[in-house]
Amino acid sequence: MRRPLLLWFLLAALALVAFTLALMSGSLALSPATVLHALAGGEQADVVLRLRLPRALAAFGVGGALALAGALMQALLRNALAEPYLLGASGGAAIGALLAMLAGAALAWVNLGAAVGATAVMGLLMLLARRDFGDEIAPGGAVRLLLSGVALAAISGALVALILALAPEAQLRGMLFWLLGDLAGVDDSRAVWLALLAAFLIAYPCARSLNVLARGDALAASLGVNVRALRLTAFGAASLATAAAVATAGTVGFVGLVAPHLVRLVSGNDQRVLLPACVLTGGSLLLLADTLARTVAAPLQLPTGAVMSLVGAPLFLALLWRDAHG
Amino acid sequence: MAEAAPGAALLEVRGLALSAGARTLVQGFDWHAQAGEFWCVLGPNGAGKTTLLRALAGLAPPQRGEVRSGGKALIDWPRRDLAHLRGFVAQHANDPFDARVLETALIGRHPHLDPWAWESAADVAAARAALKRVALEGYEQRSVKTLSGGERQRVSLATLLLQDPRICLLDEPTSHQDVAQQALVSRLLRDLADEGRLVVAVLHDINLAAHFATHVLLLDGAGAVSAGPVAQTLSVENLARIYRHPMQAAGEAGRAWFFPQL
Repeated sequence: MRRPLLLWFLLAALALVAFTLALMSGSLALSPATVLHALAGGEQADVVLRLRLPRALAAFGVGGALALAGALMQALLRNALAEPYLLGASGGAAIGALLAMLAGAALAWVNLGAAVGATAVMGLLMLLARRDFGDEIAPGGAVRLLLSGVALAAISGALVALILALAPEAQLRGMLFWLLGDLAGVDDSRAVWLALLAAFLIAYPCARSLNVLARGDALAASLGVNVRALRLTAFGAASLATAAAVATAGTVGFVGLVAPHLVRLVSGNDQRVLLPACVLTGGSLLLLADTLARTVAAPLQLPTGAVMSLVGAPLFLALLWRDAHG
Repeated sequence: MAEAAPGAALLEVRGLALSAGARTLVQGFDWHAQAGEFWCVLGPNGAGKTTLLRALAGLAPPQRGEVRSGGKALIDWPRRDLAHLRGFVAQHANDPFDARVLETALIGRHPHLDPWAWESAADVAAARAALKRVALEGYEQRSVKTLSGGERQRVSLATLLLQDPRICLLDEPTSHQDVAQQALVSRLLRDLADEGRLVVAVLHDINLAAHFATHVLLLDGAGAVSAGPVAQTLSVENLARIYRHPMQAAGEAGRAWFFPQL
């Protein structure tokens, strides 16, 4: 199997380029050589190691986690439009984070609030849809799961709107940035990297089973796949990655939906190839978007999530239509 | 997996009851079938043919009774062993994401591969052979989304061939096939039985059943099931009873053609 190795290698090279660009760019432009020196503790170590590297690591970790979660959700729900937030994670996280902001809590508590909110909504969904997880083949199970998620997301969205309406003026800007997805001020990405690693280690051994599940519950069950356990595992891994990502950077959109599709254009839908490739692609995309967000209008910092969609969506459209016409 | 003794049932049903909502489809059904037999399931729309097939595959637990093989209820079989024992081809294939034909056929190797293994060159060669057997040679690199309904159905059949189970359960494998492919698929199913497998297929074409199957299962949709060799069970009287429509036959006994009276 040569092709996935080549693809993974190219994507790893892309990640390296993204990291180099991120460490070079900023109010003080550095050459690649200076960046290397700085990484070794030389000149400009403060800027590179204290300011740029932590943020770059956070961006890559969040992007990778969201892309992995997106790929898992798409396989789980057998739906190309599935993304990490589809089942209500973003709404839950937003409620938790905004409530913490409303209470005037510190950033750490806001992050914790987001993680708790996301986990709570996904747990609630799992409870509601336990029949679809529990029954080997509940007809229409995937659709009901999806619609339940959409309904929960609507409730969360309404609650978020209420919080925004009632919040004092002074806090609105911070809340808005959080909702748009923002990496400014993030200096600790250990949680998201740990979650990403754990989710990947949970999901990757199931990759071939996910290939089978993508072709229908009955076929999967008749080929020896434990459909219920697999759904729970995939949903659990996706939830973990999503909760950690929103807790770190707020609700960064688009990357979780699109990174898997970008990879699919090149690699097909074999989850064994797709899952690692998604982590690398999603991480690189968000890191590039974040570098752009903090440099393009400097000294103004734009919200990372907005830049991600603004630059990523046209690029994705171009690739999609090139493929359709070609 | 222990070989069953000659003549012993490969698949056995005891006191099976199936229902859909308040409707009883099958009741008190006892049945057994051996390797080498090709059973064709016939019955009117909504009679429970698919439900019965899923129960026989161990995919849906029956309301009452049990489905057994090798002296053990299917629900007690380890999943992987069960995937070696029986394969199931659903009526409709599901392709939310695009994939190549070869890749889709190779899905059938899943229960034969170790958890970390990738498909080997031998698996790929087997997949090419299976595609050839269902008349899809040269389709390997085609996208499944570009296939016609009948072609996609035959990819599912190739997936089953690669799964290589001893019991093959198929839900309307000929429904989207043209007349030539109906004959090809029916002949293939008979060959699978002659190779020493048990084949149970839902078909809508009585004459395909009459010419290729060894046995028939007739469902009337009201709880009763008639099961037996084609020569005895597939009769004008039985067909008229289950379809609730007058039937007629042409040709000599044993090679008869059946028609509904119009």
